[in-house]
Amino acid sequence: MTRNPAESVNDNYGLISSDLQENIRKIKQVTGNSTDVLVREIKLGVIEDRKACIAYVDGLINSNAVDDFIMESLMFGNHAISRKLQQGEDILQYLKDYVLTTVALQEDIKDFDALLNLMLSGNSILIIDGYISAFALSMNEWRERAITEPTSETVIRGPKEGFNETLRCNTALIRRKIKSPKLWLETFTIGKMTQTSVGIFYMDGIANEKIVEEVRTRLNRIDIDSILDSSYIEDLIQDEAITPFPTIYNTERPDVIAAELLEGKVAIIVDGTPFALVVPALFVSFLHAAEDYYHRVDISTFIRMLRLLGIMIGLLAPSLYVAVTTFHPEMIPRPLLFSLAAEREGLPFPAFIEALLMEITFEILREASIRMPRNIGQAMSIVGSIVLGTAAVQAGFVSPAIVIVVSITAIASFVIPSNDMAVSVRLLRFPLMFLGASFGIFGIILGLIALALHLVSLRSFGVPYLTPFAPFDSEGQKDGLIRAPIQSMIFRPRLIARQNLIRRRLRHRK
Amino acid sequence: MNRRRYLILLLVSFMILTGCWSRKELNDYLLVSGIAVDKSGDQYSVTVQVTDPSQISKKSGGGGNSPIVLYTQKGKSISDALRRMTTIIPRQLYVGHISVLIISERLAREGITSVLDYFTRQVQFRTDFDIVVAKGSHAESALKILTPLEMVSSTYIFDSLKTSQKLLAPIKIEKLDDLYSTLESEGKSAVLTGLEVTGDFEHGEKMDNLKESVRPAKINLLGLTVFKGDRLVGWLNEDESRAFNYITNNVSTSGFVTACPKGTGSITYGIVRSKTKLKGSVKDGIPHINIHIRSELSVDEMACDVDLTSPNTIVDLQRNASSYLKDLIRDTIDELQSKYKSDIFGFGAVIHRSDRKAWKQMSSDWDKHFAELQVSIQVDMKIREIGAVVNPLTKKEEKE
Amino acid sequence: MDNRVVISNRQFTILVIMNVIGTTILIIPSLLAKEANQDAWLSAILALAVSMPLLWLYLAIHKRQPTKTLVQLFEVVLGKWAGKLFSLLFLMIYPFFLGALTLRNVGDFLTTQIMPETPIEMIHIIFMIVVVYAMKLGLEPIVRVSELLIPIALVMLFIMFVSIIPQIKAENLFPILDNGYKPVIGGAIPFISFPFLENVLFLMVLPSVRDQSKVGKALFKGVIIGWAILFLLILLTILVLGPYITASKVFPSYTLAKKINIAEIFERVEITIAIAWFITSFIRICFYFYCAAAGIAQTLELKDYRNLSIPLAMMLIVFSLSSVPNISFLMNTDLRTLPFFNLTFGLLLPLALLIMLAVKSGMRKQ
Repeated sequence: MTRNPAESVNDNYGLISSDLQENIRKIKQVTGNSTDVLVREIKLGVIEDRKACIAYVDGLINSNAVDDFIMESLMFGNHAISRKLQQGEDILQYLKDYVLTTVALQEDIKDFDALLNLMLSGNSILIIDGYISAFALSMNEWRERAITEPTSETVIRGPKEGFNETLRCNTALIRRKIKSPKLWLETFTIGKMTQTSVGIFYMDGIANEKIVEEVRTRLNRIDIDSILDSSYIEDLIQDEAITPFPTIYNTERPDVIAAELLEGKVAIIVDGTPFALVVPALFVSFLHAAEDYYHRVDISTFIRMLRLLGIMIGLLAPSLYVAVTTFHPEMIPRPLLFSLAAEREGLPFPAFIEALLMEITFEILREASIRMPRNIGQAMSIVGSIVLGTAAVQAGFVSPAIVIVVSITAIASFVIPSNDMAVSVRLLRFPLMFLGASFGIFGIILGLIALALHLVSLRSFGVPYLTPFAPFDSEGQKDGLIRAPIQSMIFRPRLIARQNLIRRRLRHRK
Repeated sequence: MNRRRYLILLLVSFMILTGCWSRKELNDYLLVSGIAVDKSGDQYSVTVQVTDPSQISKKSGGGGNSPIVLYTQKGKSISDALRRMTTIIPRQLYVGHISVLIISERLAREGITSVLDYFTRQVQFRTDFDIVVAKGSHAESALKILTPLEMVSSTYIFDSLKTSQKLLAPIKIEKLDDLYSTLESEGKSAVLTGLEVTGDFEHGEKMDNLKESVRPAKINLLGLTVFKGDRLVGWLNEDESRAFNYITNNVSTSGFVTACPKGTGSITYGIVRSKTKLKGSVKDGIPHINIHIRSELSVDEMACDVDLTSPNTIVDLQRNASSYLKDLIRDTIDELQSKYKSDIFGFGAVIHRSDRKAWKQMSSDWDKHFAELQVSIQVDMKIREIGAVVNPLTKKEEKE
Repeated sequence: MDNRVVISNRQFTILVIMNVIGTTILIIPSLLAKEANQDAWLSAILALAVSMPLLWLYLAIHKRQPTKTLVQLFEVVLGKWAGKLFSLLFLMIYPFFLGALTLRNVGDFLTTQIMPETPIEMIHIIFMIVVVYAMKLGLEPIVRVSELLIPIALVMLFIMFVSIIPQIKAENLFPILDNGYKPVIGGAIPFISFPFLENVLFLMVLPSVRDQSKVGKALFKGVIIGWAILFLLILLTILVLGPYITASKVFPSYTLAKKINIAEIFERVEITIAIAWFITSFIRICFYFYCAAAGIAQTLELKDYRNLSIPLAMMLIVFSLSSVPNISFLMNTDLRTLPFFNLTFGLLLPLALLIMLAVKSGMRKQ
C-alpha cells in the first residue's frame, strides 16, 4: 500500500494542459526558473513531428541516461511515430507499449502537483504536446555516501556495513540479509515540503499485526512540514507518556535491523538518514549491542552485566557519594573516612554543591568536545578533564574524591551502547543527587522506587517496557541480562511476536 | 491540570531544598577515636580523643603537629559531660568510629552499668569498639599518650588487643553488646581487659615521645579484671588470665613455658589450636563442671636434654604440659572461688543449659553455689610439630 | 472496577511475601523475645501452625464469591446500605489504620536510627508522595514493581543471613523451653497478630488474580515464604545477639545487621540491609493504601479509585503522626492491644462473614 504521491498535499497547481508551451512555462514559473531545473524540448517523429519536452532536475538524474534515451528510445520508434502521426493516430499508447517500456515509472499523470513532485524526487518527466497526461521516467542517480562502517556503532567482529542516506540503498541492504518473500515493505510519503519517503519493513507471519497496524496509524497521523531525520518520525510516533526514556530504538546497522525483524519487530527506514528505527523498543534493547551476538556467550554475558553496572554507577555514583558522606558516615571504613575528612578541610562548598558543580562542568566539557574538530577533540577532552579536575582540586575548590566520582560516573555511562539511553541516565542523575542530598540513602531509594514504578508502567507500542523482567518471561531471560547460546534460544519473544514463536527446532542429541 | 503540577513541583522543591536536616559535612565533625570515662566524687569526667585527619592522612604526609587532641569535661552524667564539652570544642563530635572505651578502675569499682547505658542507648554508637579498664586513674593518660606507628592511641589499643588476643591470649576482647549480655545474665560475671600506662607520662604526651626509638611512655595491656555484678573487684595476673581463656575456649594461638622434665632449663610450647568443652551437672545440690581441653602444641624453643625423636619423650612432654595447665587452671578457679566468689567463667550458664530445674533453685544466689562448685579437669595435649630441628644444640661440657 | 485489573499468580505470591515481611521484619524478634526469650523461634513455628487454618478460612470465604472483594461481600451479606456503611467504617478502621501504623514504623525507624534531625513529617510526606504516584499508576504497576524489586530485597536479606552466620553462638539458643510452654505461647501472639491476621485484607485482591484455580496455592506459597524469612531472621537474631539484647533493642534486625563483619572488609553495611525492608515496607503501605482507596471507591461506586489517592494520603500522614505519641506507646500497643484488634478483624469478622454467607446461600437454596 503506497501513499500515492499523486495525491500530494501541496498547493494545487491544476492539471496538465494540452499546450506544451503552457506546461513548460508553468514549470519554469513554479520553480522560479531555478537554474537546476532543466527543460529540454525534443521532437517526436521524423517527418511529421510532435513536440515534447523532458524536464528534470540536474543532479538528481543520470544525464547520460537522459541523452541516451532521447537519442535512442525516442528515435528508435521515430518512424513508427511519424507514420502514426501522419495517420492522425494516437501515439500515446504506442509510446507506452513500445518505447517507454524500460524506463517508464508512471503513466497517465494528469495532476501538475504530482508531476512536479515526481520531477523533484529524481525522475524526469515527459510531456507531449497535445496530450494532457504525462509520463514520469525513472533515471535517477545521485551521489550518495559510500557504504561504510557506521561511526556510532562499531564492532570488533561482525558485518561492517552501515546504512547510508538513500532509502533504496538501505532497503537493499536489508533485503540482502533476509531473503525471504515474507519480508514486506510498505512506503509512506511524509512531510509536506520534504516529501520524505518512509518505509516500514516487517516479517509477515512473525510480526504482531497489531503493532504493524499501530505503526501505520501513527505514521498516517503525521502532519508536518518536514522530516529531516528519523528522529522527527521518532518524536511524532512515540508513545504519549512523559518519560526520559527512549521507547524507540535506532541503529545504523542492517544486521541489527534484520535481527530485530526476525524477532517480530517493525523497522522504519527514513530516506535521507542512515538511522533506522525499530519498534517496539524495550529497556533491554538499549542494553544490547550488535556484538553481543557475535562474541562468545560467556564474554557477552559478562559484558552485559557490566553494562548494567555501568548504568547503575552512572546513575547513582554522585548521589551515593553525597548521601554517604553527609548522612551516613558510619558506612565509610575508618582510614577512608580520615582521608575524606582531611580532604574536606578548608573547602568552601558542601559536598552536594561540589558534586553539582563538577557534574555540570563535565557535562559542558562533554558537549564541547563533540563540537571540536576530530583531532583536537580527543585531546581536549582528556586535557580538559584532567587539567580542570586537578586544577580545581589544587585551587581548593573541590575535593579530589568528587573528581574521582565524577570521572567514574562519566566513564561508566559510556558503557551504555545506546546514546539515547545514556542521555536519559545522564539526566536522571540530577534529581537523584537532589534526593540524596536531602534525605540520604533513603531519598535515593525512594527515587529509585519511583523510577521503577515509572519504568514498569511504560509501554512501547503496547508492549510493557520492562519485559522480560517485569512481566517475568523466563524465556526472555535468555536474551536479557545474559546471552544464552544460540542453540538454546528456541522461541521468539512472546509479547512481541505473537505468531510463529519457534525460532529453531531442537536437534537430536547424539 | 497544569497549575496543579506546578504546585506539586513547587511543594516538592521546597521540601527538598529546605529539607537537609540531617546533613552534616564531614568537616563539620570532630572525629572521635576514643573515649575515657572517670569519676571523681559524684562527677563523671569524660575525656574525648579527637583525631585531626589532616595530620594522619597519607596525602598530607602528616604535619609536625600532634594527630590527636584531647578534650576533657566534667558532668553529672556522661551525656551531661559531653554536652558541656561543647563549650570547649569547635565542632560537633562524631562517635561512629571510636575504637576504644576506657573506663578507669576507680569508676569500675563503683559499677559500670551507669556508664554503659549511654553507650547502648545512643544510636550513633556502634558496637564494634573495645572496652577496657585502665589501672588506677590512667584512663585519661592512656588517651594522651602518642604511640608509635599508630599515632592515635585508641587505634593502637584496638590493634594491640586484636593481635594479643590472637597470639598470646592473656586478654579478652569485649565489645559492648557482649558485655551487655554478660551483665544481664545470671550465670556469668563480666571480665574486661586492663591496661596501664608506664613510663614518663609527661614525656609521653609530647610529640617527642615518637622521636626516640625507645619510647619513654608506653601503654601496656595487663591481664584481666574480675567483676562481681557490675563492680570491679580484682585483677588476674598473666597466667591466670591465660587460664581463663583456656576455660572459656578463647585461645587461638598462644604459648607457655614449663620446666624440663629432667634437669634444668625450660621448654616453650606454642599452641597451634585448642578447644575447650565444658559440661555441667548437678549432684546432690552441688554443681559440677567438667572441663575438657584438647590442644595441639608445637615445640617453639627448647633448652632441655631430651631426645625428641623418641616417642616416649613426646608422651612425657605431653603429660608434663598437660599437668602444668591443669594445675594452672585449678589454681585459677580456686582463687576465683575463694577470693572473689565471682563466676567469670560462665559456669552458671553451663549449669543452666544442662540442668534447668537445679539452676532455677540456685540462680538467685549463684555466687554462693559457685564457691562450692566442683571441677574436674582433663587436659589432652598433643605435640604436633617440633620445628625444623630435632634436637637442641647441646652445650658442650667444658673440658676441664 | 479493579476487577478489570488482572494480576498473575506469581505476582500475587510476591505481593503476599512482601506484605508478610513488610515492617514486621524490623521489630518482630524483639516482640517475640520479650515473652519467649531464646525460645522465640519456637514461638514463630507455633504461630505458623496456628495461622494456617486462618488462610483456609479466608479462602473458603473467597471461594463462595470468587468475584467479589471484601467490601463487596459486606454488601452481599448485610444488604446494600448497611453493607456500605459497614464497609466504610471497616475501611477507615482497619486497612487505613494499619497503613498509618506501618508508615509510622518506617518514620520512627528512620528518625531514631538513621537521620535523627529530620522531622518525621517530612519522611512521611515524601514517602507518601511516591505511594500516591504508585496509586495513580494503579495496582498492576505496583505488583509489577514488586516483581522487579523482590530479587533485590531477597538478595540483600540473603547476604545478611549468610554474612552473619560466622557470628552465631549456638549456646544462645539453649536452654530450650527454659521456662516452659507458656512463654512460647505468649511470644507467638504478636507474631500471629502482626503478619498473619492482617492477611484478611488479601480478600480485597483475591478476585483480581488471573488463575483462580491456583489462587489458594499462591496465597499459601506467599505466606509460607514470607514466614520462612521472618523465621530465619528471628532464629539468627537469637543465635547471634542472644536473648537479652534481642528483647531490649527496639529494632533488633538493624542491630543484627550492624554486626556483619567479614574479614573486616565487609562491615558497616547495615544500610544496605535496611534497603531490603524499606522496599517491603513500601509495598505493604501501597497495599494497605490500595485496599482503603479501592474499597472506598467500590463502596461508593466511584468511577476510579485513583482520584482518592491524594486526599487519602494526606489523611494517612496526619493520622500516622497524631495517633501515636511516642514509640513506647507504639511498642506497648503492638504487644498488648494490637493482637485483640487484629483478632477481631482477622478472625472474628471473617468467621462471621463465612457463616452469614453460608446461611444466605443455604436460605437461597430453600
